[in-house]
Amino acid sequence: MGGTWGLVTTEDLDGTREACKEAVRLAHTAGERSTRDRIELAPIEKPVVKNLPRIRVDPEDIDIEEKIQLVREISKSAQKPGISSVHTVYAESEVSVEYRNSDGVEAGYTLPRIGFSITAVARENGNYQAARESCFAISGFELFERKDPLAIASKTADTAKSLLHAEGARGGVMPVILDPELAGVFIHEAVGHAAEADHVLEGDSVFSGRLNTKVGSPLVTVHDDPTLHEYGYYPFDDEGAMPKRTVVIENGVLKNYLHNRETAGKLGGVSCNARAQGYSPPIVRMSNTYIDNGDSTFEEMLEDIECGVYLIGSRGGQVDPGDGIFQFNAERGYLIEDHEQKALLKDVSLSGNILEILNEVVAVGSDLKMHPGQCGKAGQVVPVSDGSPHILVKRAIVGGSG
Amino acid sequence: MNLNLEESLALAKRAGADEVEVYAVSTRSIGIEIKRDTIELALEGIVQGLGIRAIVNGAVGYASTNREERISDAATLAVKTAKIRKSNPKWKELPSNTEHPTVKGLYDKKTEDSSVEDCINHALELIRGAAGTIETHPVTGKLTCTTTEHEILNTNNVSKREKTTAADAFIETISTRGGQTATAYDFEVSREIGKINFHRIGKNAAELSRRSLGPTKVLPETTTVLLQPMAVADLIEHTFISALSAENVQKNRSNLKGKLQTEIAKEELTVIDDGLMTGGLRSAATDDEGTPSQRTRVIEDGVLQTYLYDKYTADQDETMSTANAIRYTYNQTPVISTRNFTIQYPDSRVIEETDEGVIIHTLIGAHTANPITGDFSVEARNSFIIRGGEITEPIKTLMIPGNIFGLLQNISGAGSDVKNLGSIITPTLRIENMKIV
Repeated sequence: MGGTWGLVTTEDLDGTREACKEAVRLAHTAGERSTRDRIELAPIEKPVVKNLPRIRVDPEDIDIEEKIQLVREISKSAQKPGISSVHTVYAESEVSVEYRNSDGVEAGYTLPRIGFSITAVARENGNYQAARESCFAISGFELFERKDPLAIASKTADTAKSLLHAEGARGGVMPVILDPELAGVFIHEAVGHAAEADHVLEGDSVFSGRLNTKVGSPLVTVHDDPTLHEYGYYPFDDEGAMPKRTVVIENGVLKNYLHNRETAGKLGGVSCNARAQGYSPPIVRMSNTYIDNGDSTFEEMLEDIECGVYLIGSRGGQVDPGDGIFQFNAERGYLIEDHEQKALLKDVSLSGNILEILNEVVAVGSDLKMHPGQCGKAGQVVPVSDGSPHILVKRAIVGGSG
Repeated sequence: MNLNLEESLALAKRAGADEVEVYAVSTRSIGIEIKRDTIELALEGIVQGLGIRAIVNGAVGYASTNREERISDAATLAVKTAKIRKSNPKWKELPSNTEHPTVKGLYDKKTEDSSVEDCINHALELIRGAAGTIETHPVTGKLTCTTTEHEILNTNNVSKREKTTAADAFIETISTRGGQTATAYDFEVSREIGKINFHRIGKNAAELSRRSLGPTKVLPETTTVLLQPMAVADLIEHTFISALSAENVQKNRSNLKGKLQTEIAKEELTVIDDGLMTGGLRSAATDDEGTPSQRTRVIEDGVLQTYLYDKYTADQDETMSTANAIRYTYNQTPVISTRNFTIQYPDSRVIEETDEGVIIHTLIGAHTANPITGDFSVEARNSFIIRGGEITEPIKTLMIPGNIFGLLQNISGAGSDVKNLGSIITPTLRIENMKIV
């Protein structure tokens, strides 16, 4: 109504009619007290569900005992000498979405998600170190044939053990190489969130007013692509719009924001990034976000570094898109001295300013890899994936305990 | 949905469970969302459902539903999943204590009776609070008002029903001058909507973001750091709480294993986890598996007194549950977490006493800390230089690496600004010899 929304959630399907009426009342009530500009929703084409990922083995057809057995084997594979604790999680879910709106859109789909995570804790003389790996996908039970969960578990245990003897990183400003997983988190946190058009409209993004201007090194091209069958895939978004690839940054130039129908109606642009957790309000979210391949090799990046750090894996990150300040933590790293990978480092983090660091990217590899994850915003969590090839950043703020 | 808990209990029992527990919850909420300087959305919702925990030969099975006609399926599934698992001889029994304390201030009629219109008025007050500061406007904000009824029933005669209310509000503001921007955030939470000062939340955030404009750079050094309540709580939550969990101790993934009755913090530090606190956001007659709530002295004069237990982990250590079984939703089994985790330290004029140092309002990235080792490396937001006992210029970027167990030994003072952040209650803490990058 005008500039405000009314939203009612109910778990009582028979009460849908009442809920719709109440939502209208809420929108009116809020609208009377709001000075917000009238909402003009951007038009969308009617969704056609197509190109769904092919599921070979429905998890429902696998007996629960087999699943429990699998979890036991994964755990066992990580229970090596020196490992004091192993925590394995198996999860499967099937979500069905039905969407209706007053423009006559009616569509629905069902997607299964499956995967596991393993955390191994190594202990030695009162010193504890943990490592975690996870593997989640839109897939059936065949995921466990495609990926080798026992090898992943074994590797996780080895990583935890090796961290017992790792050094703390010396903090400071230095060149860093980010591995595909961490660079993916970086691009999601530092670039993706600032490109969400709701942040731009709130005046809470360093990308406000910077469309078609240079925001980073010409080596950097960033896409958000919900059509890819990665963890952030959807057949249509939570306002019924068909998924489309959005070029966020092309050769260092900011090209597009990510939109829902309301922000696209205000700013212009294509609306296909409206997402909601359950029946929360659909807000602007990322899907599968990545830095596109360049043509450097890892060896060439090492050649460039006299003293720096190679950062691997991610324990997550956070960004203030308004200030442009971000922080994230690597699982581990290696000291680089005289162009060579040296001592293993633990608890090393990276922080800085989005615009500064994007300009400092001096090499982009050609080994793009996507990682699944969960992204939280405004209290809602949705599945996403992010990825990148290896990238070299000339100057970054590294934090550590050494 | 009219949930018949006795019937669910009987169903699971008949399906072959040795013991059964049913937990049901129904939450009605009103929310008002703010975008920039006006209201964007009003929402109303009800979440309700129940979870059934069935025990067969010590193995635990769990199933939940939010649909009345599926309760019988859930009861059967809970028993079935318990039967598939290996028997667990270490399981003793579900809580059986049927005497519960009375805790005051958990329900407020005015909060339950608040209408959408009332909440809109509060939201506008939040906006007005932020509007009085020049160069500054709200970015986003939200007010939520909830009434929750929950009930626990088990086959050991535990039966407890409680009705509680809560309200919380936050606002984020941005200040702009020239091409520069700075943001800030503030929030309050209470069992009583009338105790929340909406205007003050808006004003606090707005003044803080404006004060953060025009920052200077600082060089890496080791100095005195004052962590304000939100920063302390954020850090404690992500680095320290999991080490206190008896489950993590028993599973060899806690740094506090073997540290009972040893000094783990500065002598002046006392921490009480209080399930009985009047008006506490985590107060209740029982924890979420029916153990009567209590006040637990976790750290006394710097010495670790106890871990946090639920019934099962307490049985393993042959001790009593500290009533720390917590549920965040009906569709999961309880986990060990804090009640009202209260940090106490003798207060003084900590800012005035600090000749040189920094003061940090909020942290970014505390959730990336290592919960097992306690190592963290977090970015500070809204941080300022302290010189000669006064807060001076804002700092551009500041990273603090450290370790929570080291930090607890280096506390040198606390402010009188105790803030209730929901599950953690703390003043500003002053820490000596912290690195800043």
